[in-house]
Amino acid sequence: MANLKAIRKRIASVKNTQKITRAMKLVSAAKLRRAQQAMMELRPYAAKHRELLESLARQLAESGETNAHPLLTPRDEIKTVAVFALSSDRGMCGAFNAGIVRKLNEVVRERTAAGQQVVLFTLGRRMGIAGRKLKVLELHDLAEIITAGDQARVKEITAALVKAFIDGAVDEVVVVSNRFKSALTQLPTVYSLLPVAGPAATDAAPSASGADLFYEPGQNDLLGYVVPRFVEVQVRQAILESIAGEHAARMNAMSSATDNANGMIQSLTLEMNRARQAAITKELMEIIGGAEAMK
Amino acid sequence: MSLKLEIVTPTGKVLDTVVNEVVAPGALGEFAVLPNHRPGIVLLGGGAIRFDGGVVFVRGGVAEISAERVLVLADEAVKAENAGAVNAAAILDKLATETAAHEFVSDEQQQHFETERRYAEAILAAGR
Repeated sequence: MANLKAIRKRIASVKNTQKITRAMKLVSAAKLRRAQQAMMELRPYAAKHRELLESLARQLAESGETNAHPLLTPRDEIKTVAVFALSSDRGMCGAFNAGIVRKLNEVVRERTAAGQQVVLFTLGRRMGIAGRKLKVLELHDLAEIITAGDQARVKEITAALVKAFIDGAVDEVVVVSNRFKSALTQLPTVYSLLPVAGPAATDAAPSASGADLFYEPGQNDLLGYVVPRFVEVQVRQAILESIAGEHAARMNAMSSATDNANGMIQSLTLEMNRARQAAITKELMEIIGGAEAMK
Repeated sequence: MSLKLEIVTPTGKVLDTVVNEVVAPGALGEFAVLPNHRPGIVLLGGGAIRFDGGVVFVRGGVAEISAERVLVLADEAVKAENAGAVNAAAILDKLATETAAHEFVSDEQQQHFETERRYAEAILAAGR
Protein backbone atom coordinates (compact mmCIF):
# COMPACT_ATOMS: atom_id res chain seq x y z
CA MET A 1 0.00 0.00 0.00
CA ALA A 2 1.44 3.36 -1.02
CA ASN A 3 2.10 5.65 1.86
CA LEU A 4 -0.40 8.29 2.82
CA LYS A 5 1.78 11.34 2.32
CA ALA A 6 2.75 10.40 -1.24
CA ILE A 7 -0.88 9.93 -2.21
CA ARG A 8 -1.87 13.28 -0.72
CA LYS A 9 0.87 14.94 -2.72
CA ARG A 10 -0.28 13.33 -5.92
CA ILE A 11 -3.85 14.44 -5.35
CA ALA A 12 -2.68 18.00 -4.84
CA SER A 13 -0.64 17.92 -8.05
CA VAL A 14 -3.50 16.46 -10.09
CA LYS A 15 -5.76 19.16 -8.71
CA ASN A 16 -3.30 21.79 -9.86
CA THR A 17 -3.12 20.28 -13.31
CA GLN A 18 -6.87 20.27 -13.43
CA LYS A 19 -6.97 23.95 -12.63
CA ILE A 20 -4.70 24.62 -15.58
CA THR A 21 -6.64 22.47 -18.01
CA ARG A 22 -9.90 24.04 -16.91
CA ALA A 23 -8.49 27.53 -17.44
CA MET A 24 -7.17 26.56 -20.86
CA LYS A 25 -10.54 25.18 -21.80
CA LEU A 26 -12.26 28.43 -20.89
CA VAL A 27 -9.71 30.49 -22.78
CA SER A 28 -10.08 28.30 -25.86
CA ALA A 29 -13.86 28.55 -25.68
CA ALA A 30 -13.65 32.34 -25.73
CA LYS A 31 -11.14 32.33 -28.58
CA LEU A 32 -13.23 29.84 -30.48
CA ARG A 33 -16.23 32.09 -30.33
CA ARG A 34 -14.25 34.97 -31.82
CA ALA A 35 -12.62 32.82 -34.48
CA GLN A 36 -15.92 31.29 -35.45
CA GLN A 37 -17.48 34.69 -35.82
CA ALA A 38 -14.70 35.87 -38.13
CA MET A 39 -15.26 32.73 -40.16
CA MET A 40 -18.99 33.31 -40.41
CA GLU A 41 -18.56 36.92 -41.44
CA LEU A 42 -16.45 35.93 -44.40
CA ARG A 43 -18.94 33.39 -45.69
CA PRO A 44 -21.43 35.60 -47.55
CA TYR A 45 -18.59 37.53 -49.17
CA ALA A 46 -16.93 34.30 -50.27
CA ALA A 47 -20.19 32.87 -51.59
CA LYS A 48 -20.92 36.01 -53.61
CA HIS A 49 -17.45 36.03 -55.09
CA ARG A 50 -17.87 32.46 -56.21
CA GLU A 51 -21.19 33.34 -57.85
CA LEU A 52 -19.66 36.31 -59.59
CA LEU A 53 -16.69 34.33 -60.79
CA GLU A 54 -18.90 31.57 -62.12
CA SER A 55 -21.11 33.97 -63.99
CA LEU A 56 -18.09 35.68 -65.53
CA ALA A 57 -16.43 32.40 -66.44
CA ARG A 58 -19.64 31.12 -67.98
CA GLN A 59 -20.01 34.22 -70.10
CA LEU A 60 -16.46 33.89 -71.31
CA ALA A 61 -16.91 30.21 -72.06
CA GLU A 62 -20.04 31.00 -74.06
CA SER A 63 -18.24 33.60 -76.09
CA GLY A 64 -15.70 30.90 -76.83
CA GLU A 65 -12.85 32.57 -75.02
CA THR A 66 -10.40 30.26 -73.31
CA ASN A 67 -7.28 31.29 -71.42
CA ALA A 68 -9.16 34.35 -70.25
CA HIS A 69 -7.07 34.64 -67.13
CA PRO A 70 -3.77 32.93 -66.28
CA LEU A 71 -5.08 31.80 -62.88
CA LEU A 72 -8.02 30.04 -64.54
CA THR A 73 -5.96 28.10 -67.04
CA PRO A 74 -5.01 24.54 -66.11
CA ARG A 75 -1.54 23.40 -67.13
CA ASP A 76 -1.23 20.52 -69.58
CA GLU A 77 1.43 18.77 -67.58
CA ILE A 78 1.94 19.02 -63.88
CA LYS A 79 5.60 18.75 -63.00
CA THR A 80 5.70 20.67 -59.78
CA VAL A 81 2.96 21.08 -57.24
CA ALA A 82 2.85 23.58 -54.41
CA VAL A 83 1.32 22.31 -51.19
CA PHE A 84 0.04 24.94 -48.79
CA ALA A 85 -0.26 23.24 -45.41
CA LEU A 86 -1.76 24.79 -42.29
CA SER A 87 -1.46 23.78 -38.65
CA SER A 88 -1.56 25.48 -35.29
CA ASP A 89 1.35 27.18 -33.55
CA ARG A 90 1.03 25.38 -30.26
CA GLY A 91 0.19 21.89 -29.15
CA MET A 92 -2.26 20.72 -26.52
CA CYS A 93 -5.04 20.41 -29.06
CA GLY A 94 -5.55 16.70 -29.36
CA ALA A 95 -5.11 15.07 -32.74
CA PHE A 96 -5.55 18.36 -34.60
CA ASN A 97 -1.95 18.64 -35.75
CA ALA A 98 -1.19 14.95 -35.92
CA GLY A 99 -4.09 14.43 -38.32
CA ILE A 100 -3.09 17.19 -40.67
CA VAL A 101 0.58 16.20 -40.68
CA ARG A 102 -0.44 12.65 -41.56
CA LYS A 103 -2.52 14.02 -44.42
CA LEU A 104 0.40 16.10 -45.62
CA ASN A 105 2.72 13.09 -45.58
CA GLU A 106 0.16 11.20 -47.61
CA VAL A 107 -0.14 13.97 -50.20
CA VAL A 108 3.62 14.36 -50.53
CA ARG A 109 4.06 10.60 -50.91
CA GLU A 110 1.35 10.38 -53.56
CA ARG A 111 2.66 13.31 -55.56
CA THR A 112 6.23 12.07 -55.41
CA ALA A 113 5.10 8.63 -56.52
CA ALA A 114 3.37 10.28 -59.48
CA GLY A 115 6.69 11.77 -60.49
CA GLN A 116 5.86 15.30 -59.40
CA GLN A 117 8.04 17.55 -57.35
CA VAL A 118 6.65 19.22 -54.30
CA VAL A 119 7.16 22.77 -53.12
CA LEU A 120 5.91 23.12 -49.59
CA PHE A 121 4.49 26.24 -48.01
CA THR A 122 3.85 25.82 -44.31
CA LEU A 123 1.80 28.06 -42.09
CA GLY A 124 1.80 27.45 -38.35
CA ARG A 125 4.81 26.53 -36.25
CA ARG A 126 3.89 22.86 -35.90
CA MET A 127 3.67 22.52 -39.65
CA GLY A 128 7.01 24.27 -40.01
CA ILE A 129 8.58 21.60 -37.81
CA ALA A 130 6.84 18.77 -39.65
CA GLY A 131 7.80 20.23 -43.03
CA ARG A 132 11.49 20.19 -42.20
CA LYS A 133 11.36 16.42 -41.87
CA LEU A 134 9.92 15.93 -45.35
CA LYS A 135 11.92 15.57 -48.51
CA VAL A 136 10.63 18.29 -50.79
CA LEU A 137 12.03 20.44 -53.57
CA GLU A 138 11.63 23.70 -51.66
CA LEU A 139 10.32 24.63 -48.26
CA HIS A 140 8.85 28.02 -47.52
CA ASP A 141 8.07 28.54 -43.87
CA LEU A 142 5.38 31.21 -43.62
CA ALA A 143 5.81 31.32 -39.84
CA GLU A 144 2.99 31.43 -37.38
CA ILE A 145 -0.69 31.22 -38.17
CA ILE A 146 -2.07 33.14 -35.24
CA THR A 147 -1.60 36.56 -36.86
CA ALA A 148 -2.43 35.26 -40.33
CA GLY A 149 -6.06 36.32 -40.11
CA ASP A 150 -5.36 39.98 -40.77
CA GLN A 151 -5.73 41.44 -44.19
CA ALA A 152 -2.07 42.26 -44.76
CA ARG A 153 -0.79 38.75 -43.97
CA VAL A 154 -3.50 37.11 -46.06
CA LYS A 155 -2.49 39.30 -49.01
CA GLU A 156 1.17 38.45 -48.50
CA ILE A 157 0.56 34.72 -48.34
CA THR A 158 -1.77 34.78 -51.35
CA ALA A 159 0.76 36.81 -53.30
CA ALA A 160 3.48 34.24 -52.57
CA LEU A 161 1.29 31.36 -53.79
CA VAL A 162 0.01 33.22 -56.85
CA LYS A 163 3.51 34.33 -57.79
CA ALA A 164 4.81 30.77 -57.72
CA PHE A 165 1.98 29.73 -60.03
CA ILE A 166 2.22 32.68 -62.43
CA ASP A 167 6.00 32.45 -62.71
CA GLY A 168 5.60 28.84 -63.71
CA ALA A 169 7.60 27.59 -60.73
CA VAL A 170 4.63 25.36 -59.89
CA ASP A 171 1.79 24.05 -62.06
CA GLU A 172 -0.78 23.51 -59.37
CA VAL A 173 -1.44 24.67 -55.84
CA VAL A 174 -3.25 22.49 -53.32
CA VAL A 175 -4.26 23.27 -49.76
CA VAL A 176 -3.89 20.79 -46.91
CA SER A 177 -5.81 22.06 -43.92
CA ASN A 178 -8.38 21.26 -41.30
CA ARG A 179 -11.91 22.06 -42.36
CA PHE A 180 -14.09 23.29 -39.55
CA LYS A 181 -17.14 21.05 -39.67
CA SER A 182 -18.37 21.76 -36.18
CA ALA A 183 -16.91 22.52 -32.78
CA LEU A 184 -16.51 18.76 -32.34
CA THR A 185 -15.09 17.71 -35.68
CA GLN A 186 -12.28 19.11 -37.75
CA LEU A 187 -11.64 17.27 -40.95
CA PRO A 188 -8.16 17.15 -42.49
CA THR A 189 -8.86 18.00 -46.13
CA VAL A 190 -6.96 18.40 -49.38
CA TYR A 191 -8.34 20.65 -52.08
CA SER A 192 -7.12 22.50 -55.10
CA LEU A 193 -6.54 26.26 -54.96
CA LEU A 194 -4.90 27.05 -58.29
CA PRO A 195 -5.73 26.95 -61.11
CA VAL A 196 -9.13 28.22 -60.06
CA ALA A 197 -11.73 25.67 -61.06
CA GLY A 198 -14.27 27.14 -63.45
CA PRO A 199 -17.99 26.49 -63.07
CA ALA A 200 -18.77 22.82 -62.67
CA ALA A 201 -19.30 21.06 -65.97
CA THR A 202 -22.69 19.81 -64.85
CA ASP A 203 -23.79 23.36 -64.21
CA ALA A 204 -25.32 23.73 -67.65
CA ALA A 205 -28.33 25.82 -66.71
CA PRO A 206 -27.50 29.48 -67.24
CA SER A 207 -28.43 31.73 -64.38
CA ALA A 208 -31.38 34.07 -64.72
CA SER A 209 -29.14 37.09 -64.81
CA GLY A 210 -26.83 35.46 -67.31
CA ALA A 211 -28.72 36.68 -70.33
CA ASP A 212 -27.82 40.26 -71.00
CA LEU A 213 -25.26 41.54 -68.56
CA PHE A 214 -23.20 44.60 -69.19
CA TYR A 215 -19.66 44.82 -67.92
CA GLU A 216 -17.82 47.94 -66.97
CA PRO A 217 -14.93 48.02 -67.72
CA GLY A 218 -14.55 44.94 -69.96
CA GLN A 219 -14.93 41.34 -68.90
CA ASN A 220 -11.20 40.82 -68.82
CA ASP A 221 -10.61 43.74 -66.49
CA LEU A 222 -13.31 42.46 -64.21
CA LEU A 223 -11.84 38.97 -64.24
CA GLY A 224 -8.51 40.55 -63.42
CA TYR A 225 -10.11 41.90 -60.27
CA VAL A 226 -12.38 39.01 -59.31
CA VAL A 227 -10.04 36.05 -59.82
CA PRO A 228 -7.16 37.14 -57.56
CA ARG A 229 -9.71 38.32 -55.01
CA PHE A 230 -11.37 34.95 -55.11
CA VAL A 231 -8.08 33.18 -54.46
CA GLU A 232 -7.41 35.53 -51.58
CA VAL A 233 -10.81 34.81 -50.09
CA GLN A 234 -10.15 31.08 -50.28
CA VAL A 235 -6.78 31.45 -48.57
CA ARG A 236 -8.37 33.59 -45.90
CA GLN A 237 -11.12 31.07 -45.40
CA ALA A 238 -8.62 28.23 -45.03
CA ILE A 239 -6.71 30.23 -42.42
CA LEU A 240 -9.79 31.22 -40.44
CA GLU A 241 -11.16 27.69 -40.49
CA SER A 242 -7.86 26.29 -39.31
CA ILE A 243 -7.66 28.80 -36.47
CA ALA A 244 -11.23 28.13 -35.39
CA GLY A 245 -10.61 24.39 -35.63
CA GLU A 246 -7.51 24.67 -33.50
CA HIS A 247 -9.37 26.41 -30.71
CA ALA A 248 -12.22 23.93 -30.92
CA ALA A 249 -9.82 21.00 -30.80
CA ARG A 250 -7.98 22.48 -27.85
CA MET A 251 -11.21 23.17 -26.04
CA ASN A 252 -12.26 19.55 -26.45
CA ALA A 253 -8.87 18.19 -25.48
CA MET A 254 -8.77 20.33 -22.36
CA SER A 255 -12.33 19.45 -21.52
CA SER A 256 -11.56 15.74 -21.51
CA ALA A 257 -8.29 16.35 -19.67
CA THR A 258 -10.30 18.07 -16.94
CA ASP A 259 -12.69 15.12 -16.81
CA ASN A 260 -9.80 12.66 -16.64
CA ALA A 261 -8.25 14.61 -13.79
CA ASN A 262 -11.55 14.34 -11.97
CA GLY A 263 -11.55 10.57 -12.34
CA MET A 264 -7.98 10.38 -11.22
CA ILE A 265 -8.67 12.45 -8.12
CA GLN A 266 -11.55 10.16 -7.26
CA SER A 267 -9.55 6.96 -7.48
CA LEU A 268 -6.62 8.52 -5.63
CA THR A 269 -8.92 9.70 -2.87
CA LEU A 270 -10.28 6.18 -2.57
CA GLU A 271 -6.77 4.79 -2.37
CA MET A 272 -5.84 7.40 0.22
CA ASN A 273 -8.79 6.52 2.41
CA ARG A 274 -7.92 2.87 2.19
CA ALA A 275 -4.35 3.55 3.18
CA ARG A 276 -5.48 5.68 6.10
CA GLN A 277 -7.91 3.02 7.25
CA ALA A 278 -5.22 0.37 6.98
CA ALA A 279 -2.90 2.47 9.11
CA ILE A 280 -5.59 2.89 11.78
CA THR A 281 -6.36 -0.82 11.78
CA LYS A 282 -2.70 -1.63 12.13
CA GLU A 283 -2.32 0.71 15.09
CA LEU A 284 -5.38 -0.78 16.77
CA MET A 285 -4.01 -4.30 16.30
CA GLU A 286 -0.77 -3.22 17.90
CA ILE A 287 -2.56 -1.71 20.88
CA ILE A 288 -4.73 -4.77 21.33
CA GLY A 289 -1.68 -6.99 20.90
CA GLY A 290 0.14 -4.94 23.53
CA ALA A 291 -2.81 -5.13 25.94
CA GLU A 292 -3.06 -8.91 25.48
CA ALA A 293 0.62 -9.30 26.28
CA MET A 294 0.18 -7.39 29.58
CA LYS A 295 -2.35 -9.92 30.84
CA MET B 1 -40.64 50.16 -57.00
CA SER B 2 -37.60 50.22 -54.84
CA LEU B 3 -34.08 48.94 -54.91
CA LYS B 4 -32.31 46.67 -52.43
CA LEU B 5 -28.81 47.81 -51.55
CA GLU B 6 -26.41 45.35 -49.93
CA ILE B 7 -22.80 46.07 -49.06
CA VAL B 8 -20.72 43.02 -48.10
CA THR B 9 -17.08 42.98 -47.03
CA PRO B 10 -14.75 40.18 -45.90
CA THR B 11 -15.50 41.15 -42.31
CA GLY B 12 -19.26 41.02 -42.61
CA LYS B 13 -22.29 42.77 -44.00
CA VAL B 14 -22.07 46.53 -43.66
CA LEU B 15 -25.43 47.49 -45.06
CA ASP B 16 -28.66 45.84 -46.11
CA THR B 17 -31.43 48.26 -46.85
CA VAL B 18 -34.07 49.35 -49.34
CA VAL B 19 -33.48 52.57 -51.24
CA ASN B 20 -34.78 54.56 -54.21
CA GLU B 21 -31.49 55.44 -55.80
CA VAL B 22 -27.81 54.54 -55.49
CA VAL B 23 -24.86 56.60 -56.66
CA ALA B 24 -21.62 54.66 -56.66
CA PRO B 25 -17.99 55.36 -57.61
CA GLY B 26 -17.20 53.14 -60.58
CA ALA B 27 -13.60 52.60 -61.64
CA LEU B 28 -14.40 54.58 -64.79
CA GLY B 29 -16.41 57.26 -63.03
CA GLU B 30 -19.41 57.76 -60.84
CA PHE B 31 -22.69 56.16 -61.87
CA ALA B 32 -26.24 56.12 -60.60
CA VAL B 33 -28.62 53.18 -60.39
CA LEU B 34 -32.40 53.43 -60.32
CA PRO B 35 -34.83 50.53 -59.95
CA ASN B 36 -35.15 48.40 -63.09
CA HIS B 37 -31.62 49.08 -64.17
CA ARG B 38 -30.16 46.82 -66.80
CA PRO B 39 -28.28 43.99 -65.04
CA GLY B 40 -24.51 44.17 -65.09
CA ILE B 41 -21.27 44.00 -63.20
CA VAL B 42 -19.22 47.09 -62.49
CA LEU B 43 -15.76 47.47 -61.05
CA LEU B 44 -15.68 50.02 -58.25
CA GLY B 45 -12.99 52.49 -57.34
CA GLY B 46 -12.69 54.22 -54.00
CA GLY B 47 -15.10 56.82 -52.71
CA ALA B 48 -18.59 57.27 -51.38
CA ILE B 49 -21.69 55.26 -52.18
CA ARG B 50 -24.67 57.58 -51.71
CA PHE B 51 -28.26 56.50 -51.31
CA ASP B 52 -31.32 58.39 -50.09
CA GLY B 53 -29.29 60.62 -47.81
CA GLY B 54 -27.04 57.85 -46.49
CA VAL B 55 -23.36 57.48 -47.25
CA VAL B 56 -20.99 54.49 -47.09
CA PHE B 57 -17.32 54.84 -48.01
CA VAL B 58 -15.81 51.96 -49.99
CA ARG B 59 -12.20 51.13 -50.70
CA GLY B 60 -12.54 49.41 -54.05
CA GLY B 61 -14.67 46.45 -54.93
CA VAL B 62 -17.18 45.25 -57.43
CA ALA B 63 -20.92 45.82 -57.77
CA GLU B 64 -23.49 43.45 -59.19
CA ILE B 65 -26.53 45.26 -60.48
CA SER B 66 -29.86 43.70 -61.24
CA ALA B 67 -33.33 45.15 -61.76
CA GLU B 68 -34.22 45.08 -58.09
CA ARG B 69 -30.89 44.89 -56.30
CA VAL B 70 -27.43 46.40 -56.08
CA LEU B 71 -24.92 44.11 -54.40
CA VAL B 72 -21.58 45.66 -53.53
CA LEU B 73 -18.64 43.40 -52.71
CA ALA B 74 -16.23 45.86 -51.17
CA ASP B 75 -12.67 45.26 -50.01
CA GLU B 76 -13.43 47.55 -47.15
CA ALA B 77 -16.48 49.65 -46.36
CA VAL B 78 -17.36 52.02 -43.56
CA LYS B 79 -20.57 53.84 -42.81
CA ALA B 80 -20.41 57.63 -42.66
CA GLU B 81 -21.18 57.68 -38.93
CA ASN B 82 -18.21 55.40 -38.24
CA ALA B 83 -15.85 57.06 -40.67
CA GLY B 84 -14.29 59.11 -37.88
CA ALA B 85 -12.38 55.99 -36.85
CA VAL B 86 -10.60 55.87 -40.19
CA ASN B 87 -7.36 57.81 -40.30
CA ALA B 88 -7.73 59.14 -43.83
CA ALA B 89 -4.80 61.52 -43.48
CA ALA B 90 -2.53 58.58 -42.70
CA ILE B 91 -3.71 56.77 -45.84
CA LEU B 92 -2.85 59.81 -47.93
CA ASP B 93 0.56 60.12 -46.27
CA LYS B 94 1.33 56.47 -46.93
CA LEU B 95 0.16 56.90 -50.50
CA ALA B 96 2.46 59.88 -50.99
CA THR B 97 5.52 57.93 -49.85
CA GLU B 98 4.49 54.92 -51.95
CA THR B 99 4.01 56.90 -55.12
CA ALA B 100 7.29 58.68 -54.51
CA ALA B 101 9.04 55.32 -54.20
CA HIS B 102 7.80 54.12 -57.59
CA GLU B 103 9.36 55.66 -60.61
CA PHE B 104 7.33 53.62 -63.04
CA VAL B 105 3.85 52.62 -62.13
CA SER B 106 1.88 49.83 -63.77
CA ASP B 107 -1.75 50.37 -64.70
CA GLU B 108 -2.79 48.11 -61.89
CA GLN B 109 -0.82 50.01 -59.30
CA GLN B 110 -2.04 53.27 -60.71
CA GLN B 111 -5.59 52.05 -60.24
CA HIS B 112 -4.84 50.92 -56.70
CA PHE B 113 -3.34 54.32 -55.82
CA GLU B 114 -6.31 56.06 -57.35
CA THR B 115 -8.74 53.93 -55.32
CA GLU B 116 -6.88 54.63 -52.10
CA ARG B 117 -6.70 58.35 -52.81
CA ARG B 118 -10.39 58.70 -53.63
CA TYR B 119 -11.38 56.69 -50.58
CA ALA B 120 -9.31 58.86 -48.24
CA GLU B 121 -10.37 62.09 -49.88
CA ALA B 122 -14.04 61.21 -49.73
CA ILE B 123 -13.76 60.58 -46.00
CA LEU B 124 -11.84 63.78 -45.44
CA ALA B 125 -14.34 65.80 -47.46
CA ALA B 126 -17.24 64.36 -45.48
CA GLY B 127 -15.50 65.07 -42.19
CA ARG B 128 -15.18 68.75 -42.91
